[in-house]
Amino acid sequence: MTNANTAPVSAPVEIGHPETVEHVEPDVPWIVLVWNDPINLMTYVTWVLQKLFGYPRAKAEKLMWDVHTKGKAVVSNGSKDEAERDVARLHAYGLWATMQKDT
Amino acid sequence: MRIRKGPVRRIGPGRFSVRLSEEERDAVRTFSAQLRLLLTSENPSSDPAVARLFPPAQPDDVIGNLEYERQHGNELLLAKLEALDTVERTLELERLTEKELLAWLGSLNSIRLVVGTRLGVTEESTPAEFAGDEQTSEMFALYGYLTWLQGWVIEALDDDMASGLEEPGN
Repeated sequence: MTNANTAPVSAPVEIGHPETVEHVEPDVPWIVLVWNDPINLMTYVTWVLQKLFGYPRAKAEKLMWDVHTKGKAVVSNGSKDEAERDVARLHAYGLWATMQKDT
Repeated sequence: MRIRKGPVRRIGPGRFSVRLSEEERDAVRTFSAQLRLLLTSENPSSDPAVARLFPPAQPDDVIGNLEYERQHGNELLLAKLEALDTVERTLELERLTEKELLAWLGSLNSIRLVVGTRLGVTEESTPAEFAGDEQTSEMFALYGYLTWLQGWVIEALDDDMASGLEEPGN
């Protein structure tokens, strides 16, 4: 990810509607991953994760940093249909998202 | 409360001001038109830079991925074209609704993904890396401009209402 060199961002006002439960059962079969890329802005990735999943700022930033420093992060999980829907929503925002069985 | 002088600012609930020069608006117009051409070409995903806009959902599962593309490919393409419609329709405006600014955000990101992929930018890219060729160097400068502009759009959308109530036009 990259940095737009803008001023630090302030607290969000809109975090969208939570559509994914934060504490999901450990046995759900699919996970959604976001992968690092050199173009998407760090502030943008944080914003998208808040907007799409209703994650609090701190959680979205943690996930963004994981993507940036570790190359990827699991951003949601659920049934195959739920994972596919989340991947499509992330693709609509230009994030590099994939889904796989949670082995 | 911070004072901002960015080109895009929240001026009230769901309302934003966009202050760009004619040259800047022309740059957005040109890139939007180019992206539309690429997206409406016969086989958009045959261009690797355009394919970046439609990543595989399951890279290791060909069948699963075809199924995903069949299910979502068209809706993803139509959403990008619709966002471009909105940008083109509102290019000259100095006041945008949140919905309109979201279309700007999505289109700027799509454009940057295509231009950045074509240039082969990395997280460490510097202008010097692209200085050899005039056209490439100009493209990288425009990419940098779009990055800067998108950063301000995110900042405006992300802004809390308290700091969003500052007077417009100062």
